Amino acid sequence: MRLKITFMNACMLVKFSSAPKLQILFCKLTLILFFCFFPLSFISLSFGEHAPEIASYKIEVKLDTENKKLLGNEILIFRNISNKKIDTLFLHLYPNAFQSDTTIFMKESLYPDRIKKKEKYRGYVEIKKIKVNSGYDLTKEKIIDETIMKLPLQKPLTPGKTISLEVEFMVKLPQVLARMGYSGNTFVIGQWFPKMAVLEEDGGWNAHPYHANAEFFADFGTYDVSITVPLEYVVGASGYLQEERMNQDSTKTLVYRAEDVHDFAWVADPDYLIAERAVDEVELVFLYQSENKKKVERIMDAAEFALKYYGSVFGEYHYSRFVMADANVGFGGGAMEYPTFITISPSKLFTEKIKLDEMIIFHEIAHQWWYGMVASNEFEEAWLDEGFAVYSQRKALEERFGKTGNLVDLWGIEIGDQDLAKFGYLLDPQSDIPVKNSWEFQDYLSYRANVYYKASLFLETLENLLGQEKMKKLLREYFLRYKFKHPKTEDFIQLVAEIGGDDLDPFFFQFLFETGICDYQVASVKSTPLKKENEQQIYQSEVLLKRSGEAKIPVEVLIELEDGKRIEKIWDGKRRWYRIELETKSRIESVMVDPENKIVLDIDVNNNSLTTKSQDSVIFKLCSQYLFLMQTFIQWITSF
Amino acid sequence: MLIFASFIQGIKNVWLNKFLIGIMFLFKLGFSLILLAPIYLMFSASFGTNVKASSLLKSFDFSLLIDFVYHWRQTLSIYFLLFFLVFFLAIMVFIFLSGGFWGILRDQSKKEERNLNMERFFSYCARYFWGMFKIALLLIVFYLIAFLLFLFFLSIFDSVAGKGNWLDITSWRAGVKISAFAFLFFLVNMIGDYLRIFCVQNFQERFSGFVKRAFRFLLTNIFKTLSLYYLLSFVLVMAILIFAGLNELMDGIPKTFFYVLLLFFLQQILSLFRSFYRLVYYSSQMVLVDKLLMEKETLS
Repeated sequence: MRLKITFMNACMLVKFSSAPKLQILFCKLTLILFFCFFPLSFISLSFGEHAPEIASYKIEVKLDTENKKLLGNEILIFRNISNKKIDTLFLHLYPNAFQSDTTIFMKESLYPDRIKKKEKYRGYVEIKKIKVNSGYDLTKEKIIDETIMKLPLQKPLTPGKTISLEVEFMVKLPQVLARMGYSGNTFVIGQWFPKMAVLEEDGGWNAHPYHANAEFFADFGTYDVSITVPLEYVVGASGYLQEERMNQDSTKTLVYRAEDVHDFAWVADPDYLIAERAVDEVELVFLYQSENKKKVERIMDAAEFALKYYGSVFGEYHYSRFVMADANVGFGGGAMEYPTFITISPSKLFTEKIKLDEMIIFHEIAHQWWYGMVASNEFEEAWLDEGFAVYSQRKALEERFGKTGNLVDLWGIEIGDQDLAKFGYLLDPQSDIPVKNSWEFQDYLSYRANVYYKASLFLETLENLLGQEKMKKLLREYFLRYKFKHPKTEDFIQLVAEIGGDDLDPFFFQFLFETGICDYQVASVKSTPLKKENEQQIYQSEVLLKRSGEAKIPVEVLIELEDGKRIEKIWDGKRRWYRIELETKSRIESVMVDPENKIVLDIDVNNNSLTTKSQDSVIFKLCSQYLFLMQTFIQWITSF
Repeated sequence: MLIFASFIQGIKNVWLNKFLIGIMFLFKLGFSLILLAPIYLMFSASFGTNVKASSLLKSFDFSLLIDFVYHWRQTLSIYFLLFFLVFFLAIMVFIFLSGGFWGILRDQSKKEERNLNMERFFSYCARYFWGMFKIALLLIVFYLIAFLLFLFFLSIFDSVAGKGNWLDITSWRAGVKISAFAFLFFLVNMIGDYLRIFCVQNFQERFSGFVKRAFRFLLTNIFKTLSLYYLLSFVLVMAILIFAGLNELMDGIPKTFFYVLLLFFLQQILSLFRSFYRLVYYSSQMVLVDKLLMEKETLS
């Protein structure tokens, strides 16, 4: 059972630009409401399923808009969930990725050197003081290696025990390069505070530096974050707003609480406008810029649809608030997922006929399930959240806009999400496997092609092999079983075996752990008159099928005869070729391997069929269109 | 009235030399066919016996086209080289042919009717080739200057009106930028036409001489020349819109071979019309020059 504090949260978001009396009245009202509803929020805590509290934070942060800095104090409570004593703690200092152009992140990123070298893109975190359990000062003992901080403990932390760290820090914000920084008056604050790395069960630390391709991995906990900003700023953040108070120095402090999450991000901008909507038990909030006013309904509709759709298919959205922030801030700040909060970048270019806004919203909201609640390791197995999110976004797009043309439906050109994924996959299908450390991919193209697109097409193929209902059951079970946990690829494979049967093991192995491609083709079709039987002509027909790729999956074969008869066969695909010999009463008209296109990973569907009737109209159409296009080009280039 | 009369006379002059339309159309068709040939072979291999390809009759099925591009990626990379080579060749051949177009239309404008059109046409092609080539080189410089002017305008405009989102093509800022771009580039295009007119009319003169004459003419008659250019462009835009409307209407027709054939004819008619209309541009502007120069002579 969850309770929402809708009205209070709504009040807290109101931009304080009106008269001071009104502000005081408003504060009083919000305080009264706060004290009325605060006990209820505890009721909400005491019921329902919750994440294990491993790393919890109480942070007080002040945004210095003039100097582009964050001044913060953090109390971090960490529990040793491993079965070993630990004598060192590891923390992430993500802002240090921007401290110079020679950091791991900068060296790996694709930004041009002239951007990397610019001073305005410099950012870092400075650790001013660290104390353990409000006593021992660890400031001098800390060892910082770019984005990782190592803290040797005076006394080892035994299994099951907690430790409290007090950290005083300052973050110099860069102009937004990736997820964190400022752009004009907009502040996008993600991966900003000193954050615990993940302690594995065996006592080892999962603490990787901030890589350009990799995203993040953290343990669940509760975040109590007090954000102080200038009075005119509107803030959107993870979690629920608990309190808002005015300060003497023309600032205000907003107190947020986020439970059962593994990260906390926020945005601030004086020009944000607010749209709100109740979606069942969830309060949906959109912070937008005035230039996107006309798009508000469309964006809210898309978000509402996604929350409902994913909720019904995968399992209920755990939280009672979801915030979207318009963060069209250039490099990398545009679209990103955080628990209960996403940033998006709507564009007027994306009209009703180009549904890229919807695609991005569906993708980032899917991450609330695949990253937010089912918190797989984005460093090491990014396909478990990105591949799942792309697959989920496709399902949502198909449900809302149909199977074809669900992304672009303009001037007779129809492009679906699956087409886009296939295109992305074909950009580099063979350099890497999807299941590997994010920074070990050949390059960003290969990372994207395999982690996002191949993985999503792999899930699509899995759905086609299992059937829609079984796939839904599988994803629902995966969500319920691993909610607030850190599942790995083998957990998913194990679950598929439970639901779909063991015979899918080779399928997983070939597509997730090998770089081989899948390509079936119909090489030749022949029908020769053989004899007459009771005045009926008999034909000796022969079909030759080939497998050009390395991947071997059993595939359906459909043979259609000129008399309309259909013959269906299954080829196990184990050998490189397969010859089918038949005696038929009619000639073969066409042969198709995988006639329903179940194996969407097949890299060339054009060679999947062969017909004895040539497609002259199609060729004529394509050629005449191309001819006209060339005539127009030549007309154009010779007109200057 | 002068503008409209030039336009009408321009159409008449082209109509009296219909073979020019044929040459213009065949020039485009020839080079297009060269570029089509390898693509035709690839289309046939991928879709000629492909059962699923029938979906391409209804729409551009991207699932097939993406795999087509992947399958032929190595051939296509070579094809793109051919593409640029053919385009370069087309430009050179057009520079050669344009001497013929302008020369014949000059004769028509001056009422100097002669026989043996094709012979005359190719003799003009040869006679004016070097002049036309130098004009093309000069125009490259003018386009660069226009581009720099556009960048200069952008920097001033952005500082006054604010940058806005570069993706936002529907905003008024984008509208102003696109209009400025179009104005500058069409202006250079128009200058090119008048340079060619003065080239064929003052063939004996030095290059710098007729360039000066052309600019002097343009500066003294800028509103008239611009008005004619925009009248011509307006009619062309209307024709293209009518074509787009017809195309839209045809969407209701079942996607059979008949539809494809109809679409093919419609496209070729538009291509033929644009060949004709390119000559109308040339011819009308030439008539305008003659009329204005004659007017000036009469006055003096």
